[in-house]
Amino acid sequence: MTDPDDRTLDASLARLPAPDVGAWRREHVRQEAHAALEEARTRPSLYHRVLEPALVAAVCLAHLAWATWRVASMLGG
Amino acid sequence: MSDAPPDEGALVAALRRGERAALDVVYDRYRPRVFAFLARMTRDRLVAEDLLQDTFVRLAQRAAYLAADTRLRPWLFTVARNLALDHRRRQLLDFDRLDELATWPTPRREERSPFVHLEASETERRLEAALATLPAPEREAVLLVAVEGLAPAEAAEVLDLQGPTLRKRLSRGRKRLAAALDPDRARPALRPVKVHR
Repeated sequence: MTDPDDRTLDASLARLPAPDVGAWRREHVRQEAHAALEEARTRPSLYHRVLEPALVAAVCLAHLAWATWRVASMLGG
Repeated sequence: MSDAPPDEGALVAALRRGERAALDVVYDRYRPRVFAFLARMTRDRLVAEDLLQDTFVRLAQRAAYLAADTRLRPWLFTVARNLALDHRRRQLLDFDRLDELATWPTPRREERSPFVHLEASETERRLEAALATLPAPEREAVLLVAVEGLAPAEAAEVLDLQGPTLRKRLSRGRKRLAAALDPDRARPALRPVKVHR
């Protein structure tokens, strides 16, 4: 950037104020962000959310199938 | 964390560990600039407040997954800008606002920046009003580089642009601003606004 007019314009733009949000909203957003951070931190892992329940369900189904087969074979003699 | 302001790397590391104090430092450090950017992009203070909240909630949600070398300022501006674009798209899909399709991204001239109501010098008021007249692609380039002080490479990253494209938008934006601020000395060769994307 070599144009002096551009430099003057950019200097004016850089001096523009950055007014903040109001105090209530500022703290509200902070609390929302804290809550999101806490939720993300304590969120169960993929293993606990998906893998473990799937494994338990698979074992239960296998056991149920085995039990059904045993009963059927006893009744069938 | 110590009393000295933590550097960016330490902040990112603390965020990845889920430390609230680090989130507070980032929030206090970048909130005013991100909010100012959003307010000037959306020209609606309430919308800017909602998008500010979404930006920092997203940071909190993704904190654990940040790369160790994340630069927070471009990261936050990228998220804020994407949220502002999403908001704009939702507005345009609102059937009650279909008439705006014809004019987007040309801003409505009568719209005023939310900052013109605040105490500000005459120059600041004129600058805010001139910024509000810029087409969105040029406005976001000028805001990131000239107002928020991002390096052109950082701004190009935020806007997902190649360097020459960013320079072109910056140049056009500056010319339009200069013309809006001083119509008598407006530079020649300003073409009508075109849709950029």
